[in-house]
Amino acid sequence: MGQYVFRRVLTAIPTLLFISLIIFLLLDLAPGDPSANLPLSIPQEVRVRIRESLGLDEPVHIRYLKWMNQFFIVEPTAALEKLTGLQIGDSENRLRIVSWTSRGVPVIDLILQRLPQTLWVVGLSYLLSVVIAVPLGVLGAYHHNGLFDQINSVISVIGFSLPTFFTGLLVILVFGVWLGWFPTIYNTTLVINSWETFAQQIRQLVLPVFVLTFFQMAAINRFTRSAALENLKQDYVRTARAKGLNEQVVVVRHVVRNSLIPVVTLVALGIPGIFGGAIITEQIFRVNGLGALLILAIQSNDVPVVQTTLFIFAVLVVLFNLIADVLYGVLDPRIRF
Amino acid sequence: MTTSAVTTLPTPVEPIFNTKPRGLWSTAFHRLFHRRSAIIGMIILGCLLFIAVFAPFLATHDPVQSQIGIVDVQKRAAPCIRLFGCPADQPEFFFGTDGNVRDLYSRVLYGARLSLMVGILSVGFAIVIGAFIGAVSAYAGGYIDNLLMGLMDILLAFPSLILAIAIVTVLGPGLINTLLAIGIVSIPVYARIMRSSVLSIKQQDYVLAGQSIGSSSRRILLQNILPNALTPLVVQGTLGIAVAILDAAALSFLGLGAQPPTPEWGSMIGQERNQVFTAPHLIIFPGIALILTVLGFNLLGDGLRDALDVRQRS
Repeated sequence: MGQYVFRRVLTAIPTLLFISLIIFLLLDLAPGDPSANLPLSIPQEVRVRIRESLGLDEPVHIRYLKWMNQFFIVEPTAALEKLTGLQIGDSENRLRIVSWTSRGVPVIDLILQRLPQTLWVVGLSYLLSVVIAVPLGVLGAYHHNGLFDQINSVISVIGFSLPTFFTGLLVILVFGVWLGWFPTIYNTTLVINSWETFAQQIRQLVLPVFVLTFFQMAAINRFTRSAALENLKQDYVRTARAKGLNEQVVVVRHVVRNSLIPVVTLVALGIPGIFGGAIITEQIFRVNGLGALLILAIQSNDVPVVQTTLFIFAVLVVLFNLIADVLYGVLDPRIRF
Repeated sequence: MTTSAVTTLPTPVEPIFNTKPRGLWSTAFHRLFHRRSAIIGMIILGCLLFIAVFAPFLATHDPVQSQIGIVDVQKRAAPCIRLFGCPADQPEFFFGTDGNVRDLYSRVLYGARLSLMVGILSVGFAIVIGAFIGAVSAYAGGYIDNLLMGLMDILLAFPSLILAIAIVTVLGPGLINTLLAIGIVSIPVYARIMRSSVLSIKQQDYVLAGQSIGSSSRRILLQNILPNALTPLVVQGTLGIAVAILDAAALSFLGLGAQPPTPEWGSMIGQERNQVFTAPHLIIFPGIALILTVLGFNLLGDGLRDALDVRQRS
């Protein structure tokens, strides 16, 4: 087991280096130029100097190595310094990964600013969708082709087919405007310091979380249903029933436990998605999350922000792939490394 | 059967089955037409195809031509239909007009063409490339297999929308680039499916028989393996079109896909999304069209999966 994890971590390193190279080269090929949004009256030689100050005059491989150095050495040192309060080396003149448009704010700080909003909205809806969808899927499989199963399946297919940008606007229209129950825009600056503000936070969470949960539930629901269906047909279920165990024990202790093995993997693989932010939903409810940051950075050609966000995302994807594989082995005794 | 009296051959045994045994596709179609969801899906898609093909005849106005100055009408006018009591002194617009005083009804009709095109072309592109990669991977094995599948796993792990956004950023916004981005993003699914199909079929007796009589590997791949690997690709492809249409609409909604004045549903919703309070019809009609399209492909895909699932066949 330990050896397997160690081997997987070792293979993850070249994978990540490869991804970082791809991300870097892709963005390097992108036609956008950081000085494109500056006024046309700026003379050419000033533009050249701006590009030089951003380090754009150096060849590609040098810039890539510099970025890698920043990402893996400079940024972790800065983070360590902040955490421990110690001073490591020349912290004043450290070249951190800095956003081009936000005037010298390190990209990591921007990301940390946005993270809470994203975790509130996307994290909460992911949690909710797992908690709701798994029992629904199991019940659907248990009453295979019954009324509940059919209704559940229809709702899942619809949940699959609804674009979040349409449902988002629709719930804003119905519950925000016509009924006036919930705020239509997510207030990011809200500070929770009393029961009243907490209630306000919950109220503004309802609509975006509902839209996201409905969408994410569909996939987990269907996946759980098919996993449980497969298990219900197995011999060990018949054996359990033949032993005289009551239905509840058969379903909960035997079927659900075994059906959850693939579901856990699916859920673990979906977690990096939370950190990508729900780009569309964040746009609609004006949630100032990571997805919104990425879109804003793309629109303003802020290459360091795009690069770093995408790469952090890639790290999470690889990490959770690893976790999913290890979990699979832990949960399923048939799999031995 | 008539047998002449002179022949010494024994009379042929009557076949046990009176009906002709059905082939794979015939069985599949038979089963498909007995599934409610598949029928609903096919009806929706049939209507949609009809609308897409005959859009010029069904449309009442030019989808990109602003009606300003041509008829006396306000921008973002509410739907006005003669049949439902639209006063005779007002011009008739079935779904109302949008922010640029264009006829929304005609735009929604033409949108069917774009969405179908984007869905089918991007998935077609992904299937061709993905199936090729999967087949090569399974056939070559070893080092190449590991490399290709590792690459596919990385692509697969990213949420499709984020990856598509990244690709569109590089290629630049536009409909063709959206199509490409969504195509690239969906390659790994088909590569994985093709690889596992080929791996399981490769060991079947009829393939081994083909090899032993000296068929070329190109012939084996095209004649024996491809037809048998096709069913999962078709099922996944149908469901994939639904996802592709949704993603393309999402990109257009964000302003990265189809550019105005192209009548694309996602971009129509995106442009008018701040008017949802005053003119909800501008959101609702393209939204319903989009949902029906995606639902149609999802229902058909589900039906196809049940119909083509070999394990379920009685």
